[in-house]
Amino acid sequence: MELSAHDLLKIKAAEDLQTDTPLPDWAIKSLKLAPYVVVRRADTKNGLIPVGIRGSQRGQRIAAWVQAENVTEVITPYRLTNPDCWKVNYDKNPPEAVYSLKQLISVFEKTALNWGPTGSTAFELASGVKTLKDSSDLDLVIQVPNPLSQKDAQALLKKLRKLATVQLDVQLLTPVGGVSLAEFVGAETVLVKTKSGPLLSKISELWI
Amino acid sequence: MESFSFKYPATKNISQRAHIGVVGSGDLEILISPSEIDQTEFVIRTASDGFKQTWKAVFDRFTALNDFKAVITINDFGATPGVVSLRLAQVIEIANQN
Repeated sequence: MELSAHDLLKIKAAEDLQTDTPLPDWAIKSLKLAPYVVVRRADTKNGLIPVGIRGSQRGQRIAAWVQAENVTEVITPYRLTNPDCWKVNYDKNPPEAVYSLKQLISVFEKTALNWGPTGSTAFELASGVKTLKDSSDLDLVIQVPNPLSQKDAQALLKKLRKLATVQLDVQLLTPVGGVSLAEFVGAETVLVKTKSGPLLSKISELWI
Repeated sequence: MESFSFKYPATKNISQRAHIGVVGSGDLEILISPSEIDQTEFVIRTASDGFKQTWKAVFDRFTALNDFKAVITINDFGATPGVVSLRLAQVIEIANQN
């Protein structure tokens, strides 16, 4: 099973998770409501998958590990650009983040880029548990295996921002690691999130 | 949302103002400005409550190696201490470029 950071995993129960310290009440409650965890950007440990549990509050995050056989479903960000894969039905008024996600589909249709939502939007669409507020951001990842120019990145960001009605947080997945699109468009040196921790890299060295 | 500040004695000038980082989860924005006062002042606004001691540990380490008269304003969106340290190193480098 090939997994990547940001993939959502459905697990059977909270007991299937291994943690360094006992799970706090909010985590147990959250898993009961929606038994999903998100793959963290870290190496596997003795064959265990590094995952994170999120609560309803900002800052409620905890690291855990899970065995592959306890995972019952894998939902990648890339699947969630297809409304047929959503486990939630909205009548006429989806939350702003979901409305924005739908708006952005047309931008990416004209590119060859693999992209999708992460964060709270992905969590709601994959689990069917409605937790989004109209003030929720929209987090996205875009796979960029080949060099992207700052000019093209700027044009893309402009199009996305024009159509989105919420704050966008877009991460480019380069061969070195994850880079913020907002930083990439205007900086020579960017912060890269890698499996072994964050590092600074010149943008010219992201695709070497 | 929590706000606090820390002050450390300092003696050296920085060349210019600098701004780095992004508004985005797991990251932060840092603005550094030269100061007339003999201190490094850190002013933090963070989305993650309850980490004041962790911030202090990062700044203790930073000021042990860096001595700059400056106001460093941080707008944090849940960055890890590793990200904070890298971003501080990055902003200092730009602030001291000629």
